[in-house]
Formats: sequence, C-alpha cells, structure tokens
Amino acid sequence: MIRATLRPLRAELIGVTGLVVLWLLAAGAVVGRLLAFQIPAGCFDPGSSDPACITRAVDLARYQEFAGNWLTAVAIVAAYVPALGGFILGIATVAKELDQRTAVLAWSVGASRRTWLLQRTVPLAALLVVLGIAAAQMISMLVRFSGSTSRLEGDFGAIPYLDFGPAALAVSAFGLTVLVGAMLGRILPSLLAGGAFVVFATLLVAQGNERLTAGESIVVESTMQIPGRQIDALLRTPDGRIIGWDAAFPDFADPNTGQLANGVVEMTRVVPIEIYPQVAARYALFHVFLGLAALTIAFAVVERRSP
Amino acid sequence: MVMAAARPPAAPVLETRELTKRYRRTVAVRSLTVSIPVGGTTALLGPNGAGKSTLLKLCVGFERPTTGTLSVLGIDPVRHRKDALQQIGYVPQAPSLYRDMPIEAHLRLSRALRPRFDVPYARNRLAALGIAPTAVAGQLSGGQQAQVALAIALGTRAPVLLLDEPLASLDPLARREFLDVVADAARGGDVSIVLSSHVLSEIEEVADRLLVLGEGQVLFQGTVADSLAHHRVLEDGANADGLDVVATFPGRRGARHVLVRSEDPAIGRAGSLEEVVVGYLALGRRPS
Repeated sequence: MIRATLRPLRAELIGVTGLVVLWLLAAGAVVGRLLAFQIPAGCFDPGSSDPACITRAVDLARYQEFAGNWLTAVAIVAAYVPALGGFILGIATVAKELDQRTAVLAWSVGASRRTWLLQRTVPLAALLVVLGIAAAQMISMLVRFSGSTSRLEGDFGAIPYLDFGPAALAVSAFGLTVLVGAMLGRILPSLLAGGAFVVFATLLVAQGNERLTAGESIVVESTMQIPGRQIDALLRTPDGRIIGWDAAFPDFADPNTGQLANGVVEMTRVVPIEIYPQVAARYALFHVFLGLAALTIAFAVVERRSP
Repeated sequence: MVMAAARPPAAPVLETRELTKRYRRTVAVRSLTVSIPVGGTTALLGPNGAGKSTLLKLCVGFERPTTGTLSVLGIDPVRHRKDALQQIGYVPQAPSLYRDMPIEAHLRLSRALRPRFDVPYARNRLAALGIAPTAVAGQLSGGQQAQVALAIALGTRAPVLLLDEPLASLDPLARREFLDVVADAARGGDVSIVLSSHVLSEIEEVADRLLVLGEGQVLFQGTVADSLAHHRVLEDGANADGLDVVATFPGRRGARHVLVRSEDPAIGRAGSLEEVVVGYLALGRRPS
C-alpha cells in the first residue's frame, strides 16, 4: 500500500536519492584523496615522536589542511541533505497535488483526507528520520577520520550536524513545507515561502537554543583543556572583566599592530560536556516540535480547503 | 457517524434546501431547493456560471455552503463528508490524473485510498475500451483520460455517480463513447447518475430527468417525458396571448420561438428536448 500511495511522489523520491548518491560520491572522493596521503594512524597524536611521522610532517600538514577544508564541507553538506530532502518531499506532498489538480482524484476517491495525508506524511517523515540519523553517523565518522582538524570538532555550533540534529532539521523542514504547500496550493510560491520559513525557523531555533544555553555555559581560559563545546571566544581584562573581542580592541589593543595588551587573557565560553547531550536534545526537540506542529496545522488546512 | 443502514431507503440522491454558495461578491448558487430521486440519470443543465459545478463540488465536500443545507442519499457532506463520499463516485471537468503515472498505478492508488475500490471492475471497463493498464495517463487522448476518470469513479462502486461536465472538452466520437459507458452503467440499475453538461444533443440519449439551472437557481426540473409532454412551441410570429408562456427563445436561422406550458396538441407544435431546455435557459438569462 505504501508503494501505491507514494507512487505519485516517485520523481521527488528519485531526486532525493540522487542527492544522497551525489553526496556519497563527493564524500568518497574526499576520503579517497585523504587515504592517498597514507599517513600512519599514530602520526595524528600530537605527542608522537615516531621518526616516520617526523619525516611525513609536510604531508601531515597537507592532510590536515585538506581534511579541515573539504571533509568539513562534505560533513556540513551531509547535515543539510535530509533537510533538503524534507523540503522537496514536503512541497510534493500537498502543494504539487493541489497545483496539478490531482488532489481532486485523491480527495474524491478517498473518503478521508486525513488518511490520505497520513499515508503520505508518516512514511516520508520516517524516511527523513532514517536519512537524518544516517547523515549524523556519517558526519561523526568523517569528523573522526579528519584527525581532529575538522572545525566541527569541539564547536557548539556543530549541534545541527551531530546526533539527532540532521533528522530533527529534516522533520522541521518537511512539516513546514507541507503546511506552506497546503495553505498556498501552488508549487512555486510554496517553494519560495517554504524556503524562507525553513531558514527563518532554523535561525530561530539556533538563537533560542543559544540563549537558553547562555545561562548554562561557563567561561574558561582558552589555554585550558576545554571541558565542553565552544560557544564564543571572549577576553578577560586585567581588572577581571569578561568582554568580547570587538569591545576589547579600542581599549586593550595596539592600534598599529592589533596586538592585545599585556594582562588580557583569551577566554572561551563553553557548554560543559556533562550537559551537552541535554542541549543537543533540546535543539532536536525544538525542531521536531516545530515540524509536528506544522504538520498538525497542515492536516487542519487540508481538511477544510478546496482542492 | 451516520450509518448507511439508518437511512430511510428512499432518501433522494441529492436534496438541497435554500442552498446558497457565495464566492466573495459572486453568488454561484442562490437559495436552491431541489430534490433528485434515486435511480436513472439526471441531466444537470445550464449555461456556464449557472452553478452546476458548484452544486456538484458542494456534494463531494470540495466546497462548503454559505447558507442552507444539502444531502446526498440523506447524508450531509459538510458534517459527514467521509460518509457522504462513500456514496459518491465523482468525475471532474478535467480528468485529474497523474500525467506521468500508468493507469494501473492509478487503480492501485485508488484501492489504497478506498479499500473497497473494485480494481478488476475498473480494469475490465478500461480493457473493453482498449486502454492498456500500462499506458501512461499523460500520453492518452482527452477522451481516453475522461474514460479513465469514469472507470475510476465506477470502480468505487458508489451508488451515486456525479459527472461534472465531462463532455465539455471531448470530440464528438469521444463524447459518444463516454456516454455509451454512462448509459451502460445506468442500465445496471444500481447507480444513480447526475450528469452536468451544456451539450444538449447527446444528453437527450442518456437522461431520464432534467434539472435546468440558471444564475444559481432552478429554472425547470422534471422527467424528460414530462418536459416533452407538457410544453409546446409556437413558431415565429404566432399569437401567445392567454397562454402560459415560459420564454421566447431564438430558433434556427434567426427565427424567434415561444415556449409555452401546455399539453394541448392544438397549440403550436411539440418541441424537442433541446427547445424545451433552451426555452428555460432563455427564461433564466438576466436581461442585459
């Protein structure tokens, strides 16, 4: 039955599969290039005194530069592939049906519009969750593969890329575009408005989560082993005040060289590693809530609107 | 939940009371009160904008009445849309098929949407018309697409079939083939058909009853036999004084005829169904 109900969305499903395949090819190419460096695993340890590593120092630096740029890029793209998939499938779920008048068939043959929408949204949302979790696993694998040079490592901003982040973002993008499509009923306006909604929602959730996290974070000296994920880079003035870099320059930097004055210490605001799972879960829950709320409203809109 | 068993057996196919549907400033259906009995084929006639499509869309729950009530086999499609739709097979003006999907996929989708959908029945009807299940909808002619839409509506095995101007965009041969299938379905006796159209000549062959709408109101309703028996046509220039005149309407080659309500064979001549309908349409036309 799922096959029959999702058959009208075959073009979009093939499109999403194509995106995944493209990403896998890109990731494979980057990993293949890194493997070609043939750096021994022990050389990624900063304290390594292996003579083989010392002679490969130049290659190691090139490896780390390549991984830092390309592996990070591939990993970041991976996080957004499920969301893009959710966006494409979300538009196809209702907006395309209304725009091409095929909803008339479904809504007259099928007695219940709710069932019609459930038959589409449940398997698609499940598919997006699986895709999102797989993407997060791939990103984690790539980050480990990068030899700790990826910008994702240790960064609070990496929350969308790890654990349930990509899956939650995909559900949110899917729900919002289904809703926008149900309200507008046209493909192009839904693409534009849906895109704007998804970007706005992503920024809103990131901002909201960051604000909530501000009260839970701690500030430590940057020279210390950072006990969590970094949110912000700050400075401590000689009189003990914690200020941002922009505020520090007029008073504490040499106007010619830009060098900070003596006594100014670089600090880092971090989320303690102990609460990081809760912060990441909260981020994911915000997105999932947004997606499910949008889907719930979409059901009500579909129930009432004309095809 | 309205159960089919609880309905009185003689509930009309379609019944409206003071039904009005307004789209902003346009009134599509105005205080319409009609009752179409079960059985046979009812032709819903009227010019563009008469409210025919709106009435059928109200029946399938695609639109909501502004005021008034309507029911399909005694079920209110606004309050009990799901139950009402179980009683209805619907063919829209333009076949709403998935252009890139084979016909068989449409039938399977219909089955997924409506568990009691009769796939073999619909498949056999299409096979009889030479439409292969592997054919892609977008590659079929307009007439074939209309036949697929009709086969899907019939495959629902619903007791009421609502056909919303399915003939409008078809060539004469496709119209005739379509109406053959409609007539065949009607002959089976287990389905009541409401067919909206403004193609009068073909309707005459399949319809038992007429419901003529104009400007959202009923101009005439009755059986085809009654409409022919109870109306006479006066030729151009004939005196209509003292007669129950329906309207003056244009005849062929510029002649003006008068349609009157009468069974008296001494008055004028018997009219054709087309003349009776055109007479009532002229009655409903707002003076410009």
